[in-house]
Amino acid sequence: MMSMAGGWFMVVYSESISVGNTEVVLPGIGSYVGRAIDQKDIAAIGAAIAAMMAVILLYDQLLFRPLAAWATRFRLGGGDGGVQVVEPWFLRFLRRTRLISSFGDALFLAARKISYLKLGRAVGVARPSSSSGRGVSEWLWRGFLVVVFLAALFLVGRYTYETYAMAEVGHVFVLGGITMLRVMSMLLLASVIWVPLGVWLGLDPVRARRAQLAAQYCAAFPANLFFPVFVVGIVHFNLVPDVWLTPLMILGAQWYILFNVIAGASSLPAELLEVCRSLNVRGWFWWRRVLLPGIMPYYLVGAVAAAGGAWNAAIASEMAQWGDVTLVAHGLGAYIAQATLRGDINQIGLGTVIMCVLVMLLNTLFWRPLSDFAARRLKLN
Amino acid sequence: MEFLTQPSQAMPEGTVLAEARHVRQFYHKDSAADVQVLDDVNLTLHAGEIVGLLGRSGSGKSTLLRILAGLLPPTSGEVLWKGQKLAGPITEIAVVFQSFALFPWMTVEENVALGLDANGVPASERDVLVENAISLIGLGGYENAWPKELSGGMQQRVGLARALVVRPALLLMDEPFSALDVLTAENLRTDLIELWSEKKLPVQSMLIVTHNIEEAVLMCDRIVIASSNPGRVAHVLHVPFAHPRNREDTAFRQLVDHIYALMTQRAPIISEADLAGGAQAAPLAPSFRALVPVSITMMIGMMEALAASPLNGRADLPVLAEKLQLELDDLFPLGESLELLALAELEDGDILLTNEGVHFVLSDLEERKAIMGHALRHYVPLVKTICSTLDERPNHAVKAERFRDELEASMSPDYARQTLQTIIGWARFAELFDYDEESDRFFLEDEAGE
Ligand SMILES: Nc1ncnc2c1ncn2[C@@H]1O[C@H](COP(=O)(O)OP(=O)(O)O)[C@@H](O)[C@H]1O
Ligand SMILES: [Mg+2]
Repeated sequence: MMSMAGGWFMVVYSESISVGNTEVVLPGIGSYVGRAIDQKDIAAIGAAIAAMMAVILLYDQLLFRPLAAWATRFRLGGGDGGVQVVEPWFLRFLRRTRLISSFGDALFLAARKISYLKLGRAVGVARPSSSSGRGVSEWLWRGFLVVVFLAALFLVGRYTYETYAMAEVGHVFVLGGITMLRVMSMLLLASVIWVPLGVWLGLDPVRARRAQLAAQYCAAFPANLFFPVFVVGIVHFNLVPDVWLTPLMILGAQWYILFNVIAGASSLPAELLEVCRSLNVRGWFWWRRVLLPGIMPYYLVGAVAAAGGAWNAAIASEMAQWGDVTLVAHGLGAYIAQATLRGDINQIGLGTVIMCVLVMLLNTLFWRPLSDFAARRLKLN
Repeated sequence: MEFLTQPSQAMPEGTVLAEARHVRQFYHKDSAADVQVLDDVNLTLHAGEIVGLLGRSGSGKSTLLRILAGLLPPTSGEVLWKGQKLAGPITEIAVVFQSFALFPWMTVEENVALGLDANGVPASERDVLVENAISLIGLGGYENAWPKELSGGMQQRVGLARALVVRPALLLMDEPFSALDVLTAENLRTDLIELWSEKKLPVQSMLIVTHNIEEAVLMCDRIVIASSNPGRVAHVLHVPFAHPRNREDTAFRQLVDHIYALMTQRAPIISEADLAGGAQAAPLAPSFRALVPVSITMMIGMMEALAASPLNGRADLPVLAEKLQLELDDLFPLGESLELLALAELEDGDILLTNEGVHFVLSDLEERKAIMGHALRHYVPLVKTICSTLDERPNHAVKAERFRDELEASMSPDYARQTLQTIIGWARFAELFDYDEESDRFFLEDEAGE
């Protein structure tokens, strides 16, 4: 579900993309919004948002829910793994309808026939192989890989050296740092808002179920459709883009946090909470010693997803247009977006590579150790 | 809430600590009528005694324990603590759960100290109390271990130490030894009783919820036997033996047998008039009986063991338990299920095969299936309903959800699911009908063959 949101986001963003002078416009809701932005048509944007809501709702009901319910049969560990999946109405409809089910049976039979075709060598009759021969070819292969790697490294190095001034690379890293600061501060903001709310929602089973559905729906919505609404506000009140464009990047990603915090809070065993009540554990002490550690593994999953979403959204959100006004915030996202507008392939490449490097560094040096720690120490059995 | 770091003032033996008065508990079901779990329960806990609360699973023991702990307000009735109405949890009443309920991110010491830290006990005093509780309960040396590094027995010791460190007057334990293996459980019981007898425990009274008869007789001064559906206090027995008690002692065995007999007594037949007067509670039609998960192979094994010499069709339940290497608690559901199907009878703590049961044992597989099918249709109304619905349907298939909903009107969703699962297992053996998990439907076998 979560990655579908990213999909919608990118489709909306990329439908109307211009690289330098070539403008590629695909018919679709994204290009429609692009046009509306050019023409400052706020009503059209409202219409696009409404249409998208309907599409996501249908898609969720007709495709996603049935698939998810069906997929539970592949889950390990029996039917009662805590989550109880209610059969979605559309899946029930599919299962009950004769025509569809006989069609399904035919498909199944065909598939089974295909899968019984004898392709390839039979398992178990492994070709006798001399181990020494395999060793040599393996070493040759490895050596080849090393050579290719070194050659690539050399080429990249020479290309970088010839194309970019060191100052520019440094500058882009600084921009990356600014964007990273944005991502982290927005994560913090979203956490401050959604962790307490998510806990409140998650501790009550009924509320938790409803809120999960709502959060799922929100997460599936491509948030960039809302961007123009914010931009209009920023233009109207003449606000500083560097600050006010920032929240856009968390607009879609915040739901991952909410979603996971609810899941975490509702998975806390009732008896742990009862022990707390019995021992008069409450207030800040309760949050610090019991609740936050308890939801941390879940929260981290949400935060990592949200951070990824926010980095993605940075390219779409650090530079925004409304008619002939262009708002630009300082940052790596804006750098890439502007380079794309100019069609400067070298700058696009540099920006993208540096973003990848930063995200990878952040993952290995920050998120991974945190998640490992949470899995080791905080996981409830 | 006031926190006591001194042991709560010791009451002379026999004074009333906690008292449940006319406690009723309903669980709300959005679908059907509320389910009544406890009906007019009166129970008094005195200083200086260990009370056992004994009952089948589902009889509302855990619910009553939560109510006594102040964790759950009863639907009606009240709990008095030292004469005052109990409005919520207090630190004078501590709880220990079957699942240990330890915090995996706290060390043993931090887990134990939780109640002290939360209530701002000064560091020096806290350290002394924690140290005392840890060594008292035999956890010395494990202070810095994480719970998951410990065995189940050690984990439950942490649970005990955490409850005792706040020096409660009353300790409520919900099946504290059920999750442990036999030897570990015995070890922990003995240690606890020893500490109690030597008056080293800070508590003045303990309530042990259990479904293990021997455990209750071994530990308690008084045993309260609960009946089910809804939970009521059926019997109260005094246990006159001094600690340490010997399981092999004749008087001990006799009391265990007596309790078995009490618990295998048939429930009094409810008259029509009772049902009409019984207002809110959904009348318990037999089809709504919850079934515990008992596999057909276990039932057959038990019948075969019963039929063979030296038992020859009749056995003392505790003796049979030993012979089959079953825990006494596992024996009950088995015996009950056989009784339900009229293949065996429970009587005065004995189990005996009926004629039908003997017939079953002597038959070959095909005939066994036929006997089982007959018994199921006859004695399990839910099976009968499912079968006749399947016969009526042109496609010989029916949604299981319908029956699950019906069950849920009188039991929790978990029990309903469990009951259906048990029925499916039995029906499959008897080849009455089959179940497709994917579409959640019952169907007749030959229809599915196509
Ligand atoms: N939160 C709840 N909601 C609905 N029914 C419940 C709930 N908790 C317990 N029950 C039902 O109350 C009955 C008694 O449960 P419990 O007190 O756990 O019994 P025991 O501890 O004796 O096994 C069971 O039928 C159970 O399904
Ligand atoms: Mg219980």
